[in-house]
Amino acid sequence: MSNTVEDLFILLRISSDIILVILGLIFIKRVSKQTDLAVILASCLFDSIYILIGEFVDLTKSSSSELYFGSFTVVEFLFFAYFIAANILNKRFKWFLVITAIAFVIFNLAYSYITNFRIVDSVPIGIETIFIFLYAFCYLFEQTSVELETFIYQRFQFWIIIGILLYLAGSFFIYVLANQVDRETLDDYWFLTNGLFVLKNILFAVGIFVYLKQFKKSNSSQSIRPYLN
Amino acid sequence: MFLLHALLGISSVMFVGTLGMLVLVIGLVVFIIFHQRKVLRYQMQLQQMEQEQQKVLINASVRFQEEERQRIAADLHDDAGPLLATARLYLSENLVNQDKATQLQAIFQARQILDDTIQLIRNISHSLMPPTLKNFGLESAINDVTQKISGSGSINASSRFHDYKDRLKPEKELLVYRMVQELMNNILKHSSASFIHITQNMHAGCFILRIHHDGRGIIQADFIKLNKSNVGLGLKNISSRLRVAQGKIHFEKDTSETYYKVTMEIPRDELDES
Repeated sequence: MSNTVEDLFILLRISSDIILVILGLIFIKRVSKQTDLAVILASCLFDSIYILIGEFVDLTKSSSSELYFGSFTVVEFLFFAYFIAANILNKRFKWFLVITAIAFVIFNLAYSYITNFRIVDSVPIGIETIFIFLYAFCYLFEQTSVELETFIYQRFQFWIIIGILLYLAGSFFIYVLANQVDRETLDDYWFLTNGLFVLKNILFAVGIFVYLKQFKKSNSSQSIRPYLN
Repeated sequence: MFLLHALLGISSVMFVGTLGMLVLVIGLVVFIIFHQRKVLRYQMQLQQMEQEQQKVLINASVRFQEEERQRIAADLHDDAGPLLATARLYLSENLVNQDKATQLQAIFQARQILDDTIQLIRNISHSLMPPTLKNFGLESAINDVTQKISGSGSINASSRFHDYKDRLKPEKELLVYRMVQELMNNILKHSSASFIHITQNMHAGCFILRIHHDGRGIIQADFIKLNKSNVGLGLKNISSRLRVAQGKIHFEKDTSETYYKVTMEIPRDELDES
């Protein structure tokens, strides 16, 4: 895979992140009322900053690579876990999520401190993916079992979750096997991770538009006052 | 993964794995969407059915009210009206010109007619709100009903309340009484029973009333069917009253296949005690 295509995907990834952040800033009043959505936009901002740091900082020196990848995995996991925790109704599961999230953070810190990995932190990424998958499927299962008035895809949470799931599912094998393949083979697939980031951001954008539509609808229904003569 | 690795090589594992995971997630999402749509449609169907059922019950209750009003109007118009008109005739202006004996006889006749009218109006009033129920409660009111039925001589009716120290709320008592009246009426009209026995009990905070009879009866499936159809106004009234009382009713044939059994279950409120 040529560097041009790879660079194009990185550019697309940063652009899509920035577009989402700008979208959030345009509708800041509405978005700020939905903390979980604001957190998702914060994850996009974090991702764009992270990529830019990666472009300018030399990661080959000392333990900066471990810190760089390790921190991204933890922060990304916390953003996604918070989003799901904020939307899940079952209290027991919420507690399970909080405990596993704390355990994961501790594990990741220890792992980054102890292990020196070659390219990426495959093990924490694998665990992160499994945990987020578990949370997301529990959320989706809960949504299908509770009594609802609207279809699941008419809620913005659905699009955000699907974005997270597709991104994590698509990049799972690449990240997990990243340390076992040679650089050339990895480069052939690496553009896919950036492509999946773009796909995730597109789905996040759909989620934001669904939310804005919902917000408009609920506001217009609130503004209807009974005629009391 | 290791097997795949050995068979395909790491590059292919990466490709197949990524593709597989994506297909898996997409498949699951599609499944969830279709499943949720199915569940939602089913819920909507249920809601629609419930609304229709409610509509039937409301219609039945309106019809019942109208019939009741017509009956009262007919009673007043056909019975009380002519009686009062006759009394008026006896007490006409000509009465003063009559001799004393005729006057006394006319007054006596008018008094008789007025007494009859009072009795008639009392009967109408009692049919609207039985005084026994109001003054002495459900147990006495039902005993009254069974005694009246037994008094006719053709059917042996009895009732026994086992645990009714704490009365239900007056509104609930009236609802139960009306339902019993309706059921007794149906048994007398359609079942050709030779005995009716009513028993009362309390179970798990519920007021249980059971009616046994040895005539022709209906089972739960018939009750549901009649409730959905346009016939069976009385049964629909029972259903709407049960809904108000948040109770349940069950029609069944006794295990011995000899008797029919109707069981009413009314939950007691905290404030039912009088």
